[in-house]
Amino acid sequence: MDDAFLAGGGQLTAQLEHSELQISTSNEHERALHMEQQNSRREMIKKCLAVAATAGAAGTLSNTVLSTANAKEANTVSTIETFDLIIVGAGTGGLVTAIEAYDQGLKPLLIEKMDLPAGNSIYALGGVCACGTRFQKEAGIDANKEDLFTDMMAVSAGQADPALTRTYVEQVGGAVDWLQDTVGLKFLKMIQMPYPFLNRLHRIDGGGITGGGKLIRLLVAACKKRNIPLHFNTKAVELITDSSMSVSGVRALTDNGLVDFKARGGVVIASGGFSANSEMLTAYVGGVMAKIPLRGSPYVTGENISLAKPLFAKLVNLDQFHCGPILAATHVNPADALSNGHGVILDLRGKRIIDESNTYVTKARLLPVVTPENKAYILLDSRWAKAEHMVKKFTESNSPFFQDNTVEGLANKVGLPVDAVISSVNGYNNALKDNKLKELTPPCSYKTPEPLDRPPYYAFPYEAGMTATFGGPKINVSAQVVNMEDRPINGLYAVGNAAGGLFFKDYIGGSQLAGATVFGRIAARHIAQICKKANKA
Amino acid sequence: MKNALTVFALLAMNFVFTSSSMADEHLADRHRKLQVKCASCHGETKPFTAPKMDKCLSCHGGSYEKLASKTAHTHPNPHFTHIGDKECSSCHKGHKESQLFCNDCHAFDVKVP
Ligand SMILES: Cc1cc2nc3c(=O)[nH]c(=O)nc-3n(C[C@H](O)[C@H](O)[C@H](O)COP(=O)(O)OP(=O)(O)OC[C@H]3O[C@@H](n4cnc5c(N)ncnc54)[C@H](O)[C@@H]3O)c2cc1C
Ligand code: HEC
Ligand code: HEC
Ligand code: HEC
Ligand code: HEC
Repeated sequence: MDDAFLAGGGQLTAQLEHSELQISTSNEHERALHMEQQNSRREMIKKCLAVAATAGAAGTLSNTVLSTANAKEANTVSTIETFDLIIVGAGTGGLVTAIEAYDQGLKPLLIEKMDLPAGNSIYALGGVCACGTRFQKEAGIDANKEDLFTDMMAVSAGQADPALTRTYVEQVGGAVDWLQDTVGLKFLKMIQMPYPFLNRLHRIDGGGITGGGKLIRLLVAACKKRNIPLHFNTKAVELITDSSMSVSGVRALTDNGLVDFKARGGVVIASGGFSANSEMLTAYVGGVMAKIPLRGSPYVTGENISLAKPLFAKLVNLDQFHCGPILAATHVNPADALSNGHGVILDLRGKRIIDESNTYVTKARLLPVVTPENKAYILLDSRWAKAEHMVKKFTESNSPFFQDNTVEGLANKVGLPVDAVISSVNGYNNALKDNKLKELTPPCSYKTPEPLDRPPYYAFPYEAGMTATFGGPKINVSAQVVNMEDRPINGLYAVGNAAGGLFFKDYIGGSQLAGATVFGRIAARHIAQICKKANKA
Repeated sequence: MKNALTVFALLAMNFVFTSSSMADEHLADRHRKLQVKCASCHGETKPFTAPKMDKCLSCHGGSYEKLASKTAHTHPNPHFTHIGDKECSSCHKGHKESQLFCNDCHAFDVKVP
């Protein structure tokens, strides 16, 4: 990757270090200095352009004119030329917004607090849930909008915002086509999957890495192609508002101190959720669930809430999150072993604890509730056709699992109480014979249960892990953040996991990446309209 | 029960692989033998921060893609990952033992030179 691009404004900043412009941090002062600033800023911009041109940086950063004083030393905040929109966070939502905004003729600035896109997107396996895509049509698959709408509402227990859900199903087909055409995303052959995925899961071809990691690489490349300024190591710390409390910019912490970035059309919060913020998890989610291991990024820390809350944004669904199985020590994903319709789940005392017919999500979610350790084993036998596949996956990632020709031997190897394990397995087999599986405690409601009797036997460990949080500032169908009175806050947008309203309880696999894409594009197009109107006026 | 639980906790430690075979000679020392100076890696003669990747890449293929093709046989390929193109020094240390930062989360048996 080319350096100027990676460093964002860093290079230019260095060039401009000795400019005299200094603007006070205090709000009072700021207002008093307003007129003065306007003038000196105009001058500044002229100067910057000159310096940038001499530095030869104007080419790479043609859209950026960064003016900054030696802010750190002078204890002041630098000010910056105005953009059409400023996007906070370079995940799927943020990068999509930047690309679409640029293609709409806008001048976006994307700021990212880490040295690379470091949010949940790079950990995502890379399923994208959609209907009506060209990819589906070409494969002769008819996945319709009504069914997707119904299923999305169902997995959210009816609590998802119906208008946002409707918007999603209407626009996701086009959004996925756009990912293919504009971004160059490729998918693996579509396969029929169990509910609620069905024939809607577009699996990103990662070419050796996670699909999400591939998506981010392609999105960054698309930004680079357009020379969209992407400033790394730049953390949004506060929204800037004008006298009518419309959002007019972002104050950010950079290597050179605080900088105020101004936006004509709006600010888009795309900073992800708060799955790595222990204070928020404790406060909003609470109890044992606030303590489970993290599946994804350690850097999604709730700036969606801390940035928007001071503007009286309506915060919704804060207790909602997605939980999935994981083995924290190696981050291997044991989901396949948990969703194959076979096997018993045993806790560390060798007892069955969960109805195994639940989805893998529920089986993860219940674990911290039904066991004090949040740890269990799924015990399987060789009737499971894909056992070898799982063995390979665990072996390749140096993840521990156990295998033996007898249940007793297996229990010994794992270190579980042997008698308890044997009695659990026999209890399951006998109940199956007597057609009494549903009378077990807990019941087992497999649709087509099979006995556990074919060696070798396997035990795969798993824990419940935090995938992503669903809560945040509520958005409307234009991706605008709304306030307590359900009115849009002028100039403020949220997309991806930063936004609240689209998800509750659970999500259909693949609809988070797709949701970030759909609403990222919507935010960009809405801001384009705002800017057009402003230009006319 | 003890064993069944330790699987979860101690696993990571069992799989911390180091490049101990080269214990007393670190990457910077090996480069010095090849006449690579402090400034070639650090960009300055009196360094105080880790080198930036453009310095390393100026001698090593010019891009992450080139590097990745050199190590394509290694699983996982350390130069093409879902994390993205990290600074080289997050794995390759100059003056101490190198480490695969991926093993904060994983337990790959891969040695970093
Ligand atoms: C293991 C795992 C597997 C998953 N699999 C799937 C899947 O297959 N399909 C699917 O649809 N979803 C999946 N998800 C969920 C999906 O990854 C997320 O929903 C999605 O990546 C969210 O994208 P985003 O753009 O909202 O945020 P993120 O990708 O989290 O990006 C947010 C960015 O904002 C930056 N940031 C945060 N605060 C600031 C600040 N103050 N200033 C500047 N920058 C900031 C962060 O550093 C980060 O780069 C999975 C998640 C995990 C953890
Ligand atoms: C192969 C390239 C290479 C060469 C040559 C090299 N270094 Fe380094 N150096 C590194 C890397 C990589 C790091 C960061 C990781 C570490 O601490 O080892 C580093 C770190 C340092 C640091 C610590 C910076 C910090 O983050 O605390 C100092 C000081 C330093 N080097 C000095 C020197 C000096 C002096 C020389 C010449 C005698 C030298 N280095 C030669 C690669 C190199
Ligand atoms: C001035 C050129 C130069 C620079 C700068 C340089 N290297 Fe090297 N490096 C070499 C040469 C020459 C070799 C030996 C030949 C080879 O293996 O390519 C080497 C070998 C290596 C090796 C493999 C062999 C070993 O000793 O472990 C690694 C790994 C490596 N370099 C990493 C780095 C990193 C990381 C940096 C930046 C911190 C860096 N190099 C900077 C020239 C350079
Ligand atoms: C995620 C950790 C990681 C990062 C980041 C990383 N490397 Fe490596 N690198 C490795 C590992 C592991 C190997 C050994 C691979 C093998 O044995 O095939 C290696 C090997 C190498 C080699 C020797 C390649 C060969 O021909 O055998 C060079 C040169 C090198 N790295 C340079 C770099 C440079 C330059 C960067 C930054 C642009 C970098 N690496 C970033 C982990 C890393
Ligand atoms: C913060 C934790 C974390 C770090 C650091 C990390 N990974 Fe991962 N890695 C994950 C997660 C989470 C997954 C997805 C697991 C799942 O749910 O299937 C993953 C998946 C993988 C996979 C499997 C990909 C697939 O498509 O099945 C590989 C290979 C991998 N990582 C390699 C790496 C390498 C190499 C590094 C270092 C450059 C690294 N990881 C750093 C968390 C991490």
